[in-house]
Order: sequence, then C-alpha cells, then structure tokens
Amino acid sequence: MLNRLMIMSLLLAAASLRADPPSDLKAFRAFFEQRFANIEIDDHRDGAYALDAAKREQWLSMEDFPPYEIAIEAGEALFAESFADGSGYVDCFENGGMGVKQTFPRFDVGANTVQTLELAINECRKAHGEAPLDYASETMGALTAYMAYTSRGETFAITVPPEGLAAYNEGKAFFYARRGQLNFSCAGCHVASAGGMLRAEILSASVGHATHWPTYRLKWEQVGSLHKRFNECNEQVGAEGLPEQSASYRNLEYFLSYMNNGMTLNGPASRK
Amino acid sequence: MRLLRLYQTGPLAARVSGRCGMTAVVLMLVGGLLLSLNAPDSQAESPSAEAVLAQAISVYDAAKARGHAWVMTRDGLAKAQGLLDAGDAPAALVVAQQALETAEASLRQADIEAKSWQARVPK
Repeated sequence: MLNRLMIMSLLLAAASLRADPPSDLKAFRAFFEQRFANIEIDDHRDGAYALDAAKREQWLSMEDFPPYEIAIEAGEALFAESFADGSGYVDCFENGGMGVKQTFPRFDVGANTVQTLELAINECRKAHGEAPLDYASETMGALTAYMAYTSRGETFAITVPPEGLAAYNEGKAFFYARRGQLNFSCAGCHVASAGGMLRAEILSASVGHATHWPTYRLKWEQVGSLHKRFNECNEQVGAEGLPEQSASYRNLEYFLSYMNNGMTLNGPASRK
Repeated sequence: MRLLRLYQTGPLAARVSGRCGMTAVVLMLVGGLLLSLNAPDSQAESPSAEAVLAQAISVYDAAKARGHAWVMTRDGLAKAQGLLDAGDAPAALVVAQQALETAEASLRQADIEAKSWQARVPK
C-alpha cells in the first residue's frame, strides 16, 4: 500500500514537472471557476472589485474621472515625438505600435530572453541612438499607458515557443515559491487565499492580474508598472524586491500574462 | 512499594545518596577545572564582529543570488556595519549574529522552495 502511494505521488510530481503551458492555463482557470462559481473569468480583470459590490461601486465612481487619463494624453504626445535620427516609436513596433500590448511579453528567441513592452520601448530608443528611459519614470508610465489604451478590448494572446519554455517555467516557479520572512508566495495570497481578507483588503484572484497594466494607484500618485507592484508585494512579506525589468520579474510577468490568455485587456486602470 | 519506601527512607538510601553526592561533587570540580583551563582558548576563538558580519554578508549574497534575500537581513547588515563604523563592536556583534541567522534561514527557504513550490500548482 505504502509503495503504491509512493509511486502515485512520484507520478503526480513527474506530471507537474511535465505540465505544459496550455495544461497549466486550463488548470489555473478551472481552479478560479470553481472557487468563484458566480463570477465570469473575464470579470477578474477588475481584481478585488470583481469580488465585492461595495468596493466595486466606489471604484466605478472613481472611474468617472479616471486618474490615469492625464498619463494617456501625455503618452500619446510622447509616442508621436521623433527621435534625433528622424525615426520614432512607430517604426519599432508592428502596426505602428497601436493595439499590440496584448501580445507582450513575448519571448525574443534571438536575444534568448523575455521581452516586455517596457523593454521593447527602451530597445527601440537605444537602436535609434536615444538614451533608455528609467523604468520607474512617469515618462515610461505614460508611454505604456497610451499603448495599453490602444489595446483596450483586445484579447490576451501570449505565446510560449519551445525556446521560451525555460523562462516560462522560471516565472511559474517564482509565482509559487514562498519568500520573505513571512514565508508567503504570490500564489499563497492570490490563489490559495483569493477572495479572503488581508486586514481590510480583499485578496484578488491571480487570474486577470496582468490585464490592466500600467495602473494608477492612489498610494503611488502616478501610473506605475506591474513590476513596481511585484516589488510592493515582495517587500510586504519581508522579501527583498528586485530591480524592475530584472530577468526574474520579466519571467514572472511572462507566466502571469500567459495565465491571462483569452481575457480582455483593460489597461490602464486605477486601483487604491 | 515497601522496598521503594525502604530505599527512600532507610539507611541504604542514605549510603547511596551519600556516594552519589560525593561523585557529583568530584565531577563538578573536575568539570570546573577543565572549563577554567579552556576559558582563555574559548575567548581567543570567539568571533569578531567583523568576521560574523563578513559571514552574514556572504550567506545573504548567496540567498540574494537565488532571489530569496530578506529585508530584515539587509537592514540588519546595514545596522551592524553602522555600529562597527561607530566603534561599538559588542553591539555590532549581536546585530551581525542576528543577521547571520536570518540570512541562513532565507537560504534554507531557497533550498526548501526549490522543490516544494510544485505542490502548490493547481492540477
């Protein structure tokens, strides 16, 4: 009997190691469909506001005059500016950079790394002789807010080529591994405890976590990136954060974004 | 029960406890002598604040390389260095030892999590 149990657990462990992205996505969505049977999966793109009617009402009131609107307008102007060599952002992206956010991050096979939208913007600048932007800057926030805005309503379609599987798996491991003095993982709060309370806050479901970036957070008083949010979460559990656009955070974004495939992009957004 | 009572209260108990007491006293004296002989060596071997801090930084760096550095270790290292710079070596030693312990815990966490994260993936 004991031998059978051991063999079964070994088989299960081997299965989890072999799990491919489509199987992961199916199991991930199924988990949240079961946990929140009365909520459509796509509604989770609104985070905790999909789980609590009163909080949603307050948030919708805030959306009457969305605080990220200024960033969209600034981003549109920045996006239209020409570089010193006469080119511009429009020359670096397919479709002139309009409506492409839902395909980021993607795996750059040539560079053997995950390319986020922020990284692509800076690569574009460097390729045309411009200095890269600070990832935490308002300029970067405005540019990505505008580009996300042009993708609103598009469906997330992240791909993982065979070459990108290692990066995807590293992001997946990061998501489920506990860290920090409090010994919490991303999944501990946003999978296992999703819908529960953390003090006065409702823990959002992880499905939909990547649909609405960049986001204007009231506590930041500016539009910020998903990586900035990763850092905030890490520090809250006593783990040291990583630099924005570090390989680990890009891999984590890659995994999380793949888990949003099939959902609608709704960035930029606002949060408390 | 009768035998036990006899042992606890009778002359046999007095003889046994007397022998045990003497043995204990001798052992304590010998132990104390050995400890006192060892004392100068122990003091010489006690690590300096600088050494403990260097060890704590090394373990912290190893945890950081694996994405598992802790905020409290980082803060502890900075505090220990500040105390050393201010010339307060005894206080620096205490803080550096705490930082070393948390750094070791974070490295253990990295080891454990390298395997156990898979158990949390929805299937």
